[in-house]
Amino acid sequence: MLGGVSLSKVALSLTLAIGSLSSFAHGLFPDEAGRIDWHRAQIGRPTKIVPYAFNETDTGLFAITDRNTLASLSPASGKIVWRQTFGSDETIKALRVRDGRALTLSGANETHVRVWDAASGGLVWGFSQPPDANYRRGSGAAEFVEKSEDVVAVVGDSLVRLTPGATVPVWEVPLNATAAYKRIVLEDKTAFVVGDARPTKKNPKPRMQVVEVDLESGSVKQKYQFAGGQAVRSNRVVFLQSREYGSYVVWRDEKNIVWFVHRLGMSDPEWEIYHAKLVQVELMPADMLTSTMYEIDTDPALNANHPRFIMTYLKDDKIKTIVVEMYRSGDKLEMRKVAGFRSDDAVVAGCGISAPKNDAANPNAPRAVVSVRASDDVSWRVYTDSKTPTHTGDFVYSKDTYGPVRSATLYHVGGEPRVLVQTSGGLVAALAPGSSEPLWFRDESLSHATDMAFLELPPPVSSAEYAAKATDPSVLGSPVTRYILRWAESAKSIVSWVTSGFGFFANSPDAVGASGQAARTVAEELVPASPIVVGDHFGFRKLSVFGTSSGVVAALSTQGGSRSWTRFLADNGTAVSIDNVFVTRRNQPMSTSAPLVTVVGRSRVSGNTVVAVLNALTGEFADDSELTVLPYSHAKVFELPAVDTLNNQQLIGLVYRDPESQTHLGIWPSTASAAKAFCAVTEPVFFDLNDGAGSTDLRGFRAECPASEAELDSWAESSSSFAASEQWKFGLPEGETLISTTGYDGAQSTALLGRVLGDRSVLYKYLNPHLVTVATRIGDDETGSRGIGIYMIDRVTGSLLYSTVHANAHVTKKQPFLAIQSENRVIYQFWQEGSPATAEAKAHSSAVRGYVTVVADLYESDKPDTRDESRAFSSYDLVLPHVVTAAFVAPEPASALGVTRTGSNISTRDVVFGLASSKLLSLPDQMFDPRRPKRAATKDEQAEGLVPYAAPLALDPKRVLSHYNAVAGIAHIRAAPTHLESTSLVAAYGLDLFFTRTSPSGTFDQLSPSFSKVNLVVTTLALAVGCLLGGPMVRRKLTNQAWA
Amino acid sequence: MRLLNPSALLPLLVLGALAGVCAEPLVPDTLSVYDNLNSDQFTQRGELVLSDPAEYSPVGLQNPPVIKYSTVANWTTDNSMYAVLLQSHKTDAQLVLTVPRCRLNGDQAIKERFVVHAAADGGLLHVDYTAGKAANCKDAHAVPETPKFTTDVVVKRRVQGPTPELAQAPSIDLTTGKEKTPEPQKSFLVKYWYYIVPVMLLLLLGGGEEPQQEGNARR
Repeated sequence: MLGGVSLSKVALSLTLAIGSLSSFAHGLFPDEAGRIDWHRAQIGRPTKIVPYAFNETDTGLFAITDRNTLASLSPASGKIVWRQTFGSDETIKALRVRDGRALTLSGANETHVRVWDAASGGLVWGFSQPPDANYRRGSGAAEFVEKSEDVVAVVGDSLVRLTPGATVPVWEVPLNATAAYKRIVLEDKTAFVVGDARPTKKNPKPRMQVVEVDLESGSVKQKYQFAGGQAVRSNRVVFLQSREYGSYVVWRDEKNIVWFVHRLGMSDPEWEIYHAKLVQVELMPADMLTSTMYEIDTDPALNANHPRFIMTYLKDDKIKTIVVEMYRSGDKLEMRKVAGFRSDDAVVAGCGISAPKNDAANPNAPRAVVSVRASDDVSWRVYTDSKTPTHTGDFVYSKDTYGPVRSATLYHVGGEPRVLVQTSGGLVAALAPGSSEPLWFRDESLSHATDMAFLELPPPVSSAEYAAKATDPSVLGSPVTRYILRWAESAKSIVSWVTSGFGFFANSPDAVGASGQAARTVAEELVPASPIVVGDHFGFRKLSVFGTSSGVVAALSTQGGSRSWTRFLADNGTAVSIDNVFVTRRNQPMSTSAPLVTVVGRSRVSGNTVVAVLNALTGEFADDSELTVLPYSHAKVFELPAVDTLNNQQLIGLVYRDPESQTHLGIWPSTASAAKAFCAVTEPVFFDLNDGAGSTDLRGFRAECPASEAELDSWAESSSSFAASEQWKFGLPEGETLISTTGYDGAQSTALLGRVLGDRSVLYKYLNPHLVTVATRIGDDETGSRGIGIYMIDRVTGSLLYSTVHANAHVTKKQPFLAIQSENRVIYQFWQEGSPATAEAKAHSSAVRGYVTVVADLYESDKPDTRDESRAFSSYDLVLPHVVTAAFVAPEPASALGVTRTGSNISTRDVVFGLASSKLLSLPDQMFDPRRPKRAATKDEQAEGLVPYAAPLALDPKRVLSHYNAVAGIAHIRAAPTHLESTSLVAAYGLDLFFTRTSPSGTFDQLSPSFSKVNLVVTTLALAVGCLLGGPMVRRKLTNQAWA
Repeated sequence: MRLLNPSALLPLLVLGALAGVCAEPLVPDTLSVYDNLNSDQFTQRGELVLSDPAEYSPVGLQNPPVIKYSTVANWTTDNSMYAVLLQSHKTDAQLVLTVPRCRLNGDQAIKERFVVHAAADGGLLHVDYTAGKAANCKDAHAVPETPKFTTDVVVKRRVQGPTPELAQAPSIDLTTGKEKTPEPQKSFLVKYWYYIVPVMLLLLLGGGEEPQQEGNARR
């Protein structure tokens, strides 16, 4: 006893006081931007990397990528100095860097030539060629004219010379669709444009077509064809440019051991070269037929007078590599081998050439060739003019995580060589001599993300339980034991907090990293030593598992973006294209089974469906399984409402058509127990199917299980799919074609079945889990009628629940149709022209020209307090919803739509827009209410919280979730609930990745940052002291009263 | 369940999508209604008249026309489903609509409903059908042989979607660059008093001399 108060009470008070000091909750506030959210800027997989020396000390790396991005990378760190993201249909076909300028040619039929300032990324000037009916697919090339700022380019179906500041070309040569021109070779006064000639009936074989043009006047000197059987882009063709000798094309026919050399602009002579002269060893003809050639650099400044190329061939089943240099004396042409690499240095993955600095005035500047050998690890050599490598290095990495090396580039920093290697999986790593670890790396695999799934992680307190489980799992059987373990864990936290000086001397969040783990080194980040297996108390830290079209599956922490694991999936060495990722077994605290993700994709070899089941925590194949190639190609994949009880795995349905066009539903896992689990589901499985955009109907199917248990047993032994019977066919009216279908994204939960109105009556929501929104294109540009049709249909019966039409609206690749369903609300966005194309449309179209967002709320009835009589929902009841709609003017064009999700859906749902201007905008649900009054709100409407209607959706900067980050190319938005009802995780991905969390209804279940924990402690202590002092006095008084 | 493309039902199913909000009357047609309640073939039991308003009427024929399953294209016999076949009088095109047969179990008075979706120009867009109740599927009784159908026909029109309703744009005074304040509405007299007053004055002042002239003339 201490003054009448027990020690236990004091200890309890102190524990409560100290406990209140520990971190309790998180919230999103301006000062937390960049701490609780994270952004990964990406560029895509480089298709070409050009090193460029600004001066003797400064070097830049310029890359164009398969995600249509031009980027300047820091050679020292790999970070993006600047980037320019082009349109989704604007493939970058050419990149040249010269005199501080970067030249790009992009687009297909509509071609854009742009010159950028290489230092800042600013546009210096540009030229756009409108679409041309004669455009040949694949055409496009551009080159700087030497000693001039002019550019010669193949745009559309023309060859043009462009000069800065001029709006029209200096000259334009129509190419008359004679070939797909892909290469421009410039000499002093001549431009050669070379392409793949258009096959004709008379001459169906591929061959090259050359147009020789006077560079000054633009007059065509001659046109001719050569190299029958050859294409411009082939590994048996190289272009060589020499200041002294002119320009040449070297090629080898497919089944010929002779190499041919053609001088551009001359039809005669044409030289023949034999292998023996080149490699100076005897070769068998079969080996000669394996030889291939690589251009190592086409910059005349580097190739100087004696252009070089690399040739590989087989000798005694080993790949040999030589560097060949061209000489000419009179009419005699000679190829000399200047370097031959040892067999173990054979170029397998790629090669490149670079000079320490670009010095056109010094043709004898030292040049180097990099040879990369990629087996399990990468070993590389840099050669100059001798057979002995000047620099060597290794790079240790696993092909199972990033795929095989596919190319390499050499550049110099401060005179020291650096090698950039790229893998099929999207890894770009910078290597230095003498080190097996990369200087830096960029992981661009996720710039091709196609799908993602959130995986819940166990809370950290259970780490003690896991430790206990590892030693003696039986101790976890008792809830008391688990409770004690949690207390022990909490006590440890308090002790560590006290020993860290009450948090004042602890590592800052930045030092520790938002993931809660210490900052990793480059090597650790490349190959994490330990995966992330523990989450947090609030469900903020989950694993986001991405599938990509480049074959990579990767798991990242939603906090900080730390990579947990990576897996590269390949079929016969070729990356598979992943379409869907499903979490098929979740984390279960007391289970010894690891969580699983099932990845569904397509083989690039056979086109068939591939499935892989991975351990979601480690990325390893689950249960010694491996990538499975199924004997069909799926048309649709979705989660089935069944769990295989044998291994507690969620079933996946794979819809496909057999050669007889019969529809089937395959299941995964394809086991007897899974089949029984599927057929044990009481409700039949319905699904809809269409032939994609452009199709004219939509069909509904029901999966059919075998009638009896015996049939099911025999089925499980012989088959892996169920027949699907067609239930309905929804034919679109004549002149309409499908744009897209939209269903619910995952299972929906609803907190409120109705909408409480201002007069306390209830408008009941129409909640149909089988609702599908179908968007159609009406008419076309040729007929002049345009429009979008919207159908809401029931997936089970094919019933049409609602239909409407938007005249004078249209959908293109640049102006896509977006839609999302959430609860009883459908939101869609499209482009609407301001001036209707037809008189008929004009009569009924609004004058609004821009992006229109339409909201349709579905209710069971237009009368409050009225709802469907039947207790259980049935699609066959054919309850037609009462649909309330409204249209708004979207603030900016959007590329993706999403909604936030919370655990119980008590919080409102924000609508999240991925804007084309690289912003992630979150707008409140309230703004999209179609019942917003279009006049002054009545008292009831005010009580309901309805704000008066205003057509424009305001772009409030305070509601931009991405803050100052430019999140480029947002294509998908996903949301996941946390353990706090107020808070939703939001992920946006496409080219970039961005994660954040948001609280649509405010952080009502969290302490505000202004909450004073010190005051709480002081108050608690004051109360404790008051108790200590007042307790004896009160007792004494009571005693005195008793004696009185 | 629907087994035929409704667009095949009538050639009048034309592109009416871009037509206006002023819905046209339903293009008239009559659809014979058959069902497979008691036999392995479709037996006619009524007619669905597409007009304004659309309505269903039973036909009390002694030997109603029948259509054999085998003659119905794309129809796969499924005895678990109660099927209704609609046949157009204009084109003879057929449409099969189904619901689970168990929904009719033990129900002598069956409520059924046809939902006819029309394009804005009155053309037929789609037809949906329901009958019975889901609760009947838990009923052990069989489907009665001669149930009484209470038929409801609903016509739904495809309407023009909403468009943003913009507020009137403010009028800017080009000389000052400021928003023009709307002028207050003036009455007719205030607006045109300078025409009216002279006319009135002329009438009042000039009108007194005429009787005098008349008087002089008489004299």
